[in-house]
Amino acid sequence: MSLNPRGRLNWWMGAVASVSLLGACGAPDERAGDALESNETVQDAVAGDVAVKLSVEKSSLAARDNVLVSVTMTNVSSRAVRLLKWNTPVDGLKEDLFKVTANGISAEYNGRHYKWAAPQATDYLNLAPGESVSSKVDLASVYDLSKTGTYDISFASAAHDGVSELSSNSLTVFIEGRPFVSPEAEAAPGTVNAMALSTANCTSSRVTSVTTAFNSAKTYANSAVTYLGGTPSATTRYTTWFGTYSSSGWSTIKTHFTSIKSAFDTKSVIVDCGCTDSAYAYVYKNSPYRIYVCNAFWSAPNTGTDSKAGTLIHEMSHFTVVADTDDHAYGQTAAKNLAKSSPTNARDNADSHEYFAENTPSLP
Amino acid sequence: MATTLECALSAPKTVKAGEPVEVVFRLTNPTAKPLYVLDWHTPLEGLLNDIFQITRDGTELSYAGPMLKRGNPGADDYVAVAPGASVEGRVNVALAYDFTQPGRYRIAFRGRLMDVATQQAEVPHTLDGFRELPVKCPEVETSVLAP
Ligand SMILES: [Zn+2]
Repeated sequence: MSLNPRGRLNWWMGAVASVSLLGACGAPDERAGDALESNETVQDAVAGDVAVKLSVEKSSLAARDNVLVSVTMTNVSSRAVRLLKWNTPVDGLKEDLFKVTANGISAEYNGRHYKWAAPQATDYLNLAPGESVSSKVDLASVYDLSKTGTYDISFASAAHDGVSELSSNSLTVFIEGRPFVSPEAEAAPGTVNAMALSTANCTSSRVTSVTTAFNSAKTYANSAVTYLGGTPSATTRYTTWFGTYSSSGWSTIKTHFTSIKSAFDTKSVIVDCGCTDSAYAYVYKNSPYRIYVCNAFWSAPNTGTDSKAGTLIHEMSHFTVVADTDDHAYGQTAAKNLAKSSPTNARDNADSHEYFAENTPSLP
Repeated sequence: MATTLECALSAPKTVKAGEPVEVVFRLTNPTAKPLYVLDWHTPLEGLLNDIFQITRDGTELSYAGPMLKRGNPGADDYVAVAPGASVEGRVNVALAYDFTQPGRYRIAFRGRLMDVATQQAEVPHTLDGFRELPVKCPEVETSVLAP
């Protein structure tokens, strides 16, 4: 468990798409309906009629875990009662039904809000005396749990058309922060264009900007492959970024850029705009070809030093199946120093590949 | 006075496969002046790069966590370490390295601080002005038992 006290980027969440709300276990309508002739004989539940019990399987959840809360509603009265389904999680969460707080601060509800019409009979969940209905909901898909910390979770549906408030026990769960990704955004097909680039969580203006950068990154990769296809020698461009010339070193870099070019040309690359960290971008090495772009990316120029296109080259080089590079040094000064002190590490350094590709200012 | 920081790692002696493997990274300032340590590439910021070298029964594990490209740091990327004081970061390395197989794991911090400043007014340095400081943290061993 990360105990990152400042709640910055917690990566192990970002890659996992939240599963959306799980429906009720079984079909509560039918079970309840068997015991009851019609809704006319069933009264609206009032406070105290229905006990709500919350539980979680684990009290400590890593950022990659869903926050699955089981909600069991039991009719503890001696008569049949009914609840409006939208005040319960039986058909998924359609209202802000939970109180989710960390250190007294409420987590924002990002789920749906419906404007309900007058309820029909089918909008009610009927519970015979003693009957229970359980549902599981993934709170991470509707509440913003981006802060790492100890959360208090309780059920607190608002009074609605005469149905009294339901309340529950309070759970205490340690939750590692994770960026909030709306299930709707994940479910959307995203924008796919002819170059096998797709985007996720990007506004339309960002899609435009990512598409331009992607094209420029392809141009960079092509130019690098062309350059490295020339006669190997101790050129200024090579030695500046990768240090002392050797034919095997040149060949390694040529292989890297051939893979980078091939990935841009032939793979389904996803650029995800969901990151709000101050960094440029990140990837998971073993999860090609999804590239998360962050705040610094948006203020970078399209091409040139530390540009959007260069950042895409940097990130593409990290994937294990591409060039499996690491981050030994950041920035041009450190990358140049690395070329002098350790050509081996320079050949394994993502920024060195980026600067070689950007070639700004242009070196022969 | 030489700028120096002492480093220590600790990890549970044994864990069951599938459980978290929490590694504590502690930096201690033995000097008489405060030091300002960039938390990048250290557990002080979590686990955002391949900062550990981990072997299981001698075989190196690959890193499955994120790789971040960064620009210039901000002042809040630095952690102040008072004279004689320590700072700690804890990470669950099982989130980024595969600890699911039983065996003997050796965990080593790759061993450098990207930037350390001696004056608060200096931070944040730009990438060009980093003063790297190697640190030596003795490696630790954890045994993962079948669940
Ligand atoms: Zn990187």
